[in-house]
Amino acid sequence: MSYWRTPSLQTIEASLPSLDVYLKALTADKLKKLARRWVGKESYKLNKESAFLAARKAWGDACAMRKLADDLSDFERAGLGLIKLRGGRAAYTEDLAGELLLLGLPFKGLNDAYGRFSGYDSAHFSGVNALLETGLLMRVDGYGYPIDRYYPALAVFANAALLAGIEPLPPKPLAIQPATEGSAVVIKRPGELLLTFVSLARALGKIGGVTLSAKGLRTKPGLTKLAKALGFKAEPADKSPTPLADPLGFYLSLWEAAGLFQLDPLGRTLNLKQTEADELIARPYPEQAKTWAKAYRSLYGWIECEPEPFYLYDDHELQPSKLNALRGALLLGLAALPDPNAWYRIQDLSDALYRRIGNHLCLGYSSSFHAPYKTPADQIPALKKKWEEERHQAWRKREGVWIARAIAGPLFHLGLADLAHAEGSKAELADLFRLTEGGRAATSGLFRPEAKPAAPPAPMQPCWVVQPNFEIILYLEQASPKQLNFIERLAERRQVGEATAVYRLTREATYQALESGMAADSLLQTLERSCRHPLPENVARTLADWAARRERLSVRLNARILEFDQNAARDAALATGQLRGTAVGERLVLVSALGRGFRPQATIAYEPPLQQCLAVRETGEVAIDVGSRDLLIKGELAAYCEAIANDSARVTRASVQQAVERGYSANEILSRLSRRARLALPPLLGCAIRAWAGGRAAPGPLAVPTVPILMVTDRDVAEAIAASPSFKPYLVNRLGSQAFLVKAGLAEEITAKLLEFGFAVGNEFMPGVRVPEAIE
Amino acid sequence: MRAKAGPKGSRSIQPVDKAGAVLHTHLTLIEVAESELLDELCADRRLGPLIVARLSDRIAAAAPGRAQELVRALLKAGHTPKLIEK
Repeated sequence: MSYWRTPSLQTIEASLPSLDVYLKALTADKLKKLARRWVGKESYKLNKESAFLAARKAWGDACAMRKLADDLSDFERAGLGLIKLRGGRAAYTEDLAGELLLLGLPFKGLNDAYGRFSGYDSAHFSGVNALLETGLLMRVDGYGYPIDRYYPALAVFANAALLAGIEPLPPKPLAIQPATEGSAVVIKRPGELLLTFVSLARALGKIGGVTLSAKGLRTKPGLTKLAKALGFKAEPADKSPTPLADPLGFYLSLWEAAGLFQLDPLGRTLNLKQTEADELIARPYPEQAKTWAKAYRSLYGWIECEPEPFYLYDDHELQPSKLNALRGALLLGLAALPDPNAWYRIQDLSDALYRRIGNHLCLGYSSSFHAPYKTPADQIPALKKKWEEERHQAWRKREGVWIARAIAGPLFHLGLADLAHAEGSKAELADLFRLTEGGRAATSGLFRPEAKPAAPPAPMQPCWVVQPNFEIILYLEQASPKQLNFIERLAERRQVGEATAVYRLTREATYQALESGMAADSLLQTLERSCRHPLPENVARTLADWAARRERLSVRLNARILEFDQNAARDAALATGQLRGTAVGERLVLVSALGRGFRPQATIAYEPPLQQCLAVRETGEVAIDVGSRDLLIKGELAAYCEAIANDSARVTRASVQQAVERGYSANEILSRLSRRARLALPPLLGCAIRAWAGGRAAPGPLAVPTVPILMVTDRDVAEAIAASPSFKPYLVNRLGSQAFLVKAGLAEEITAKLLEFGFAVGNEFMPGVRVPEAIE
Repeated sequence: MRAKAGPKGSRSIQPVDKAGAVLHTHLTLIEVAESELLDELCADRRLGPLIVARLSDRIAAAAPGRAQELVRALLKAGHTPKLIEK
């Protein structure tokens, strides 16, 4: 089980704290501030309980919430609007913090030292804390204190009725001038992007998900396998004009943030939600872009670059970090561009972001200005100006570099931005950018929803050429997700360029396509339908041959064979319809279905042996060997054992009786237990399970009667009694040399007889008397 | 054909009722279009040990619990078996 994996917003929303839990966690002072919205200044005269009741009453009242929505400040309305744009009522704290700062709207605490009390790396939470302070937002952990590095909260949420009355407000436009269009424009074509996503979905489906370490990180062998299937090569990102460090890590983190993975119950594999992924990839790109931009904002476990000086806590691989705040601010900054269709200098955008958020958010250490002691007042402005310039330079070296890499890397590769070089520029990275159609839809488009009805999907058009040498040239611009999916299944990708991709039809790939459920005839039809020229005859013939070759040899898994004593009995059973199947050789039937009334004489299961991972003790204690346990063992034991701890259980009378009530027999329990035990079961436990289960398998009756024993200290006396006819009627047998077994019911009579002969008779056990060991 | 009870856990016999027939479940079978192909598979040094009983001229039973190994060996030998899950 991985110890931590950041839950999705949907999961968070499913387990939000109740209003009572949240309100009870607030101090009296905060409750009164909260109640002030409805009660007015009088709220400060209320006691804690009254303030609690006033806040709770208003929170559950839709009318009060609507009124509250009308009375909000621009910052509050825009802040809540940002949460509404996420499609729910919760938001990750980090990315919301960056966005709130970028809004450019005033709020309480923006310009003072509020929010910095716990360190420079908590200053960017000031916007979130301003909303928490007024009760418009709540922490998902139910606590009432502000957010900072030492008291973090993964996410915050708002009241659903309040959000219903909110219209999202766009951020204040950035002070930035458009640039003239540059040269060497680089455009990421949607077809190329689509191909990456389709091939990733196919590779993940084929490999069976991403394996995780015990810590929750992606394992290297799993990644290597996936990279090989995708054809990704480990190349240094710095050499590319569009650098994307660790592309596989980026796409996996992106898809996880987009909610396209599901963690398996053991927490060791991320499985792809194939249907959701296919459905998302099939959407028109501007629509997809909204999902990818949202996912980019909240992804973790991947970073654009590490400009110096730069410090990141170790947990950035497992949960959102300050990078998410910067990504949120960057994306909202793109929504705040004065003209979404114009080209801009990346440097200008970085400076504009600095002016908007630089006081509160940076990736490194943010200093505060303090003039030296006894500095003359007239020198302070000059010193402050110098300090501000230094800080701006530090931003350009650190955040500026990060912003340039974010635009030229992920935003370009997600098809959100086009890149270009300014006239005369010799920089390695592009210095101009422009939002693409998808980029506009995912940023400024969120605040200007267009009323245009969704365009019907374009009909599929021929998008490839099949050559006689079995190569397929695919034209990416014309290819639909369905066509890409088909060709990825059918052929091996050899080369991908900007406009085309080259595939090769191979027997192995065709076989895999047929095995994945593609019908042989539809394979040829689809290949022909999307082909710009008639399918070469040799290719069509070879494909048909490959398909036919597969039909020649079948492997049936989990097959059932019915064996009859005689041929006649088999033929009769087939003729009467008691079973359906195919006659095989002599006396055998390959069964496809058995009639309800048909009862075979015996069943033989050719199952592989299961892991033997149990150590069973006579007392019924069952220990599971952690090193060799399998997925089923706990469930199996739960059927007839009581759980003691995580890796041990115990067979008891009660657990066996409960199992019997559910239909288990003693033999079934013993068979299951012995099949999984490393050593033979202790015989006594076997008897005990039979006895506890009762019924016919229970052992016969036992008895522990109380029988009198005559013990004699003197050996001569013992010999005399043994030889005496007077005592013979009272005795059953001699036990050793000095003890006798007395007949049941005659203890008093023999005592009287012994007294009569003058013996002193007691009733205590005599340790010195020699009796067989069994009696001792 | 009737199998003996094997090592612990590998086979279990559950008498049910008298109908004169024994049901063998969880078998891995190889089915071919021509008997010559099965001859060829049985004679193959890598595949032969995985085929334990020939039930007819076109159907044979594979070693229990080694289905994946059999499929891998078939693919490696250049065959393209059609996998049929019950």
